[in-house]
Amino acid sequence: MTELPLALRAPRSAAARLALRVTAAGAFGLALAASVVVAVTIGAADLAPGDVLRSIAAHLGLGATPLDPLRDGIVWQLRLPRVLTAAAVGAGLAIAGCVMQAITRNTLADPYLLGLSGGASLGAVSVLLLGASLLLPVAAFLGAALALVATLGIARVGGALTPTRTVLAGVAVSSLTGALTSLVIFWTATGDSYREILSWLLGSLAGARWPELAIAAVAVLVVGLPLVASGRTLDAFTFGDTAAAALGVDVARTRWLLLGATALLTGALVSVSGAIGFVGLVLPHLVRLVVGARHRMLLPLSALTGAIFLVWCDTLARSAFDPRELPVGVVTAILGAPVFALLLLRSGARR
Amino acid sequence: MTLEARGIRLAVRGRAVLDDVAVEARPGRILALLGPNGAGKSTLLRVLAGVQQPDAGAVSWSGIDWLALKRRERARVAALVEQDAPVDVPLTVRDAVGLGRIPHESGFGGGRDDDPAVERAMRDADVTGFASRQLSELSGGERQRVHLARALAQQPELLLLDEPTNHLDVRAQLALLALLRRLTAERGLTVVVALHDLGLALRHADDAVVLDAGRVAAAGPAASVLVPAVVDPVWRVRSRVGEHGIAFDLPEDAA
Repeated sequence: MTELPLALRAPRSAAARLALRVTAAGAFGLALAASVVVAVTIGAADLAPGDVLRSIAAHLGLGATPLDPLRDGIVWQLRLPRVLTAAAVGAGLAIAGCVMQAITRNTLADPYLLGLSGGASLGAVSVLLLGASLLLPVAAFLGAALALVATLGIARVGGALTPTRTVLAGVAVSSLTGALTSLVIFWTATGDSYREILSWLLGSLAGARWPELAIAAVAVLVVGLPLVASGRTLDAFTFGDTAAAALGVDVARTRWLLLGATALLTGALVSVSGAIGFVGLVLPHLVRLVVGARHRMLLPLSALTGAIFLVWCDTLARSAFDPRELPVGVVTAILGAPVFALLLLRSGARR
Repeated sequence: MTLEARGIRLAVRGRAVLDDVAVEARPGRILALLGPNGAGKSTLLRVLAGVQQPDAGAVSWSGIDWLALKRRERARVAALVEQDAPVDVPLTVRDAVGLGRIPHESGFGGGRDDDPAVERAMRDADVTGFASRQLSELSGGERQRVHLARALAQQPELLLLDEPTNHLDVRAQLALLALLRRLTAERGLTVVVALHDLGLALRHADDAVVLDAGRVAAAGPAASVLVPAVVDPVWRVRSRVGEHGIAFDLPEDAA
């Protein structure tokens, strides 16, 4: 541990701690807003941050003079909903990872690594095959929930639910759901099926418009925000299940309720973006290093940094090889997999 | 207030862990829970804390049906200090102690920063001096005092501790038991503590219950329970009790 984070963690007076919390949340909130505006300007067409703000103001009826229709279309129809969807998905995945880590007492827990995202992809793709796209988020939730049950079930058979066993079980479930997802797409698709397979397996925000943003935003507001507010309950699990029970928590009920909520959140997000990995693993971990394990700091800051992280990953994904696009999951995996390896080494060394 | 358990039975996978166990813990007194490894001490503590349901039996707290209370209500009365709590938790001492306030807060929100009960619990357990340090940086004795402070932050009337002197050096063991004695005397706390060290129990506990394979082998004032007639068959040793405490040998036929 370095000196600076320690100083951040432990101011003495209650007022100083409150001030730190408000300042940190405000600073990251502003950083997110700035990231969104700047990310929208990046790419073909010459746009300045002022143009983005003007376009938004005009569409919100704030009396600004609109941009010319072409550039306004790029901002309002294409990039803004995509960037905002990235923010919502990033925030939601970080919240889901953080909650899963707390209730399983496993710093390796993450919706992607434990197979939830893969299960959600499979559910979503199956429903699209049947042509019932209204059921998309429901099917993705069912897929995520089944995958979670399978992962925990496999990990528990013949042993304790250790972090590495759980991740291995997640690998097995992810492999199977990934293969089945590919199979379903390949079976039904006519033309460019490889691109579609990739975007579900690795995650892509290329198709994100206002309807996709609506699904992701509703999921984050309706499921994610209550999870962020339940920090005190998650705190109770810090020293394990018995300790949580001794603090008055109904451990079994709380665990299934919160895991169900993370499956719901993951399902909704994956139904718009595919299975983007490592956001839920990396951001909570980095934030925890700086502010410690108390969830009232950890959860909101993980959500904000997760949003910023995915906004920039997606911007990189669509601009690095312009005019071709990378699936955003390629970028998050390149950045996240080394962190995962590091955490794996540390969790092995501890036992 | 008095905690009274009667006829506690609990089986795990067909094996009786607790078999018709009765315990009575009285206010202002320290009750030592003794017995060889696997005798059922930890399980009994979890039952008394209301964390684990027994298959049969009744527990009452000053006449109230203890197991029928809501979890939160129990958590405002009883605190449990477990054995071997995880240490790789990135929390400061103050934040760790603050977790003890959870039964008194709502599940939402984040807990207060300026809770006087936290400050008081830290003073009582003598951890205020390193309140801003990380849990992982502490010595075993310091960390055990933090867990005690966390339990005290629950403002309990009943304090249950599972081998709190484990991994502590002699001085830290004595300091911890002296602290328990002071809290018991000043606050009228009811304390039940599982111990391995019979010498510590003899010197610091008022009452003792000896468990042997899930059954009560003896119960009563510590000095009358910790005698060779009880100790020798339960632990399969030969003991001598003198003015310096209690000493043990392996019986000759086992050597």
